[in-house]
Amino acid sequence: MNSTNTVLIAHGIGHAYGGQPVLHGVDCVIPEAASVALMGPSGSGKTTLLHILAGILRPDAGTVTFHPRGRRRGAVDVSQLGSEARAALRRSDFGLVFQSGQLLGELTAVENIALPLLLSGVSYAEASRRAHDLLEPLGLPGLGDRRPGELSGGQQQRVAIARAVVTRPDVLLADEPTGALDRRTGHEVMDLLHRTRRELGSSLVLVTHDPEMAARCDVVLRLTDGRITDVHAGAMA
Amino acid sequence: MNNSAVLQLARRLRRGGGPADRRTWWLSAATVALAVTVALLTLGVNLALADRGDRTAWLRPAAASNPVATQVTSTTYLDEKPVTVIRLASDRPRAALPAPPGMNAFPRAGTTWVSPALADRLADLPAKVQPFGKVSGRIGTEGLTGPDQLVAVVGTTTGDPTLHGAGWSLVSYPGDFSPPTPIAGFAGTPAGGDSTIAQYVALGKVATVLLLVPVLTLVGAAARLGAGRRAQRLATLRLAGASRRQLAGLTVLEADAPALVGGLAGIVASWSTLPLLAQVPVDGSRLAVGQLWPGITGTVLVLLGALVFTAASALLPLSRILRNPLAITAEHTARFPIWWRILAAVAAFGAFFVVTRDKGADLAAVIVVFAVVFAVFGAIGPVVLRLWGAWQVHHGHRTGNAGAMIAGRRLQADPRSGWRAISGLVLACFVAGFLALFAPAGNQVVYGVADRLDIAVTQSQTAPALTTARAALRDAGVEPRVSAGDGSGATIFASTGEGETRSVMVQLPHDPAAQQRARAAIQRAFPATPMATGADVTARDAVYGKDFRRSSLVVLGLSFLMAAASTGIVAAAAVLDRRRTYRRLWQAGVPLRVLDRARVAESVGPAVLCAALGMAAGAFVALPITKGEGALAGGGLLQLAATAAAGVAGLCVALRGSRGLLHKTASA
Ligand SMILES: Nc1ncnc2c1ncn2[C@@H]1O[C@H](COP(=O)(O)OP(=O)(O)O)[C@@H](O)[C@H]1O
Ligand SMILES: [Mg+2]
Repeated sequence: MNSTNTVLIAHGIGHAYGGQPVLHGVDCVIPEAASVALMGPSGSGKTTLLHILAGILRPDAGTVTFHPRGRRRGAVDVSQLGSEARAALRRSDFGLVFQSGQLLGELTAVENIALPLLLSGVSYAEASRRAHDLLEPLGLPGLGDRRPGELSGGQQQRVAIARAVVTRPDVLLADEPTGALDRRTGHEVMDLLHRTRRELGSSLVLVTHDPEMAARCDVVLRLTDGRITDVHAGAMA
Repeated sequence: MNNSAVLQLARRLRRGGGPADRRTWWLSAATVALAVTVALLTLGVNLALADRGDRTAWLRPAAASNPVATQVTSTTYLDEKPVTVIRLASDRPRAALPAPPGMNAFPRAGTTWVSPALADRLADLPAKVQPFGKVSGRIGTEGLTGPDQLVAVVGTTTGDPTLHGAGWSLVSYPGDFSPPTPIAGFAGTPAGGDSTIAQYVALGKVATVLLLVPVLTLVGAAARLGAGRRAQRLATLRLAGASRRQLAGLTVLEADAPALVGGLAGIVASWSTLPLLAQVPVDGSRLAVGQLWPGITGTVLVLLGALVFTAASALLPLSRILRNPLAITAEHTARFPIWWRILAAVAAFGAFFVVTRDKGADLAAVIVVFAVVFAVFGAIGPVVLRLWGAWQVHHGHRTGNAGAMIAGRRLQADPRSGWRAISGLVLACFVAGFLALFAPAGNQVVYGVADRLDIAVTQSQTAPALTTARAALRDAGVEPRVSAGDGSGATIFASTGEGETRSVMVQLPHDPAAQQRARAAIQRAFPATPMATGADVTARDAVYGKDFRRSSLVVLGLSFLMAAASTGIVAAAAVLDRRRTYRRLWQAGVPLRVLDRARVAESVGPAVLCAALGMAAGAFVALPITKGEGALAGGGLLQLAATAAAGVAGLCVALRGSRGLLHKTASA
């Protein structure tokens, strides 16, 4: 982690659900082109923090600053943007991967992958070409015309990753992306996620409770009861 | 898991549900409430019309083999309203004679009994111009079709000439007539021939057929609400080893709980609407609340019907879960055979021509035709949607329109749900097309001469009738302007069945008081003879046209209301069923606008297409039934355009209504 640049800086993040505080003054930094694992027991606020970093949720307190890679645009305070602007940011600058349920069951794999490009005004011919280009490296050769229901869980997550990276985002945010997969498949999918991230030079924020998965990241943050209680370098990074 | 365990689980699942589940529950209940209300009111109107038919049966008696009295029925007019006049006579002691409906005894010769509504009208007239003589009593409600009916029962002697001879058996304007008939009582079967009410009874049945499908569609939609979530739950339970019976029990309990609450609410709603409905005149007089109330049996049957249909609709998808519980969780694309659907449609249209070729406005034919048409729609609607979907995907790819692509793929993957969303609207449009052609032309037909009273006479009666009329008018102090006509151009056509019919034409004076005197005098001189002015018949004829237009508008309005409700519910159900995916997509930055546009593209385009097809089919089906008599002129076309616009507007409102739900569900 030699880069001094950061893409996301969260400062003093506090959040509560219906008066029940979940995060208390969380500070964290996501360096450019690095991977950061977010660990912690269930209910410690990992998903909430990820959603705040991604601009899905607005924090009750604190700021999230996004510095586009290479400083090609000025920094923005994600927490101050309106919902449309945050959606646009997620669409073009962030890539999100969830545990499941993120693919449209009616669309083919290629159409699902091409969706963010279409939404950004890219023609379907171009979007589907770029989606097709991702099939091979993501281990989905020849499966482009299948619908999600006709793919295995691991294959579905590969499609989800392809969709997240098709716009070459600055930051990938993944919430237990292998949580619904068996161990072996999970590791295969994770290999892919890391490889793709490195090729794109994107940063990765990975929520996981699997220590092995976390160890493969550059930085491991531990969240306990809504506070960052430990920051250390990944053992295998 | 035994049965009480199923019950407990159902309760637990209900209590454990989130706000979306509770919304679904109440939405189902509200939907069933609307459907049950419409069903009960429709049933009530049919029962009331049938009751009115029964109550008018005694006006046209069949000849009895062991007669005790003689009856003649005719219709005359007072203030352009028809008044039914029944003349009765017998030689037997009155105590041994049956009492007419609503009266406590057979009328003594020379007495007149009238309905309260007629009594009110007669009360304003001086004794000299009483057309039915002195009034001796009032007819009770049991003898009447409703509070507005105008009836007079006149007791007379057996020597009365109106009770002899052939009498008037065929009268060409609406009203009840029967020639002198020997009767044994007042409860016998009516003689052949239609009374006016028969038209209304038939109309009520057609309306029922037209409303039945939207009602069932609505209840089906309610049962489908939350079906996606339920399928997931049941699949999970099936995977955990739940038995067929347990799952079926759980499904029925879940679906029927809101249906029961909604059904009871519907009963209360229909019950409180009855007094309002009882204000609407049917054939010129109102129906009584008591007639419109379907009774405990009818009500319970409707409620049970709603519960059974809801349970059946909810159980339908269960067999798929039982066979392959994994398929549900994996969201497989359903197989969809196209060819048998197209074949079935072609066969049905062939059958349509065979059935309707020589049948006119036969009610059975209408019902068969509707059953066939609705079945055909159900078979080919999804095919049309699937083709539309393929085109949308193509279009979406060409233009890079993500919304069109999503909508098209969705229609391709599950054209049946797409069809469910719009089927109600398409059927309503079909009804609109059907009624537009069926509707009597909006322009009013004018009969005869407004202020000329035409009296039907046989050829041999003409000369004495002229004398009688002149004498009666002179007696009443009116200048007698009376002439004989050959029957052509007369306001009414009537026949005794023997020889030619002529008419005696009385030009009425302009002065209202003199006119009243003249009419009363003529009525008393020709007590059982068909007579009417042009104004009378024109007004009488307008009543049916007006009733027809009013009832077709009500049927259309209700169809569209229920169609919009079905569409809104299906749209809401679709959002609730996909909430996880919508949520994930929104989180990944897909604007809700795009998802919403996909929803609109998924239903509005095909709805407009199918609604147009539905209207065309409706007009097409009405053609052989009306035998081309009805005209698409003026009013019909306007009505069609208005309903089409209302339908699309309703659909848009329904979709807009669920947009809020989409936003809340996805981004909450
Ligand atoms: N939408 C919500 N409404 C209320 N409480 C919530 C909501 N989402 C999460 N929580 C609560 O916030 C806490 C943190 O949740 P989350 O961020 O999902 O934790 P993690 O992902 O670490 O398991 C938990 O106690 C959870 O119950
Ligand atoms: Mg979590």
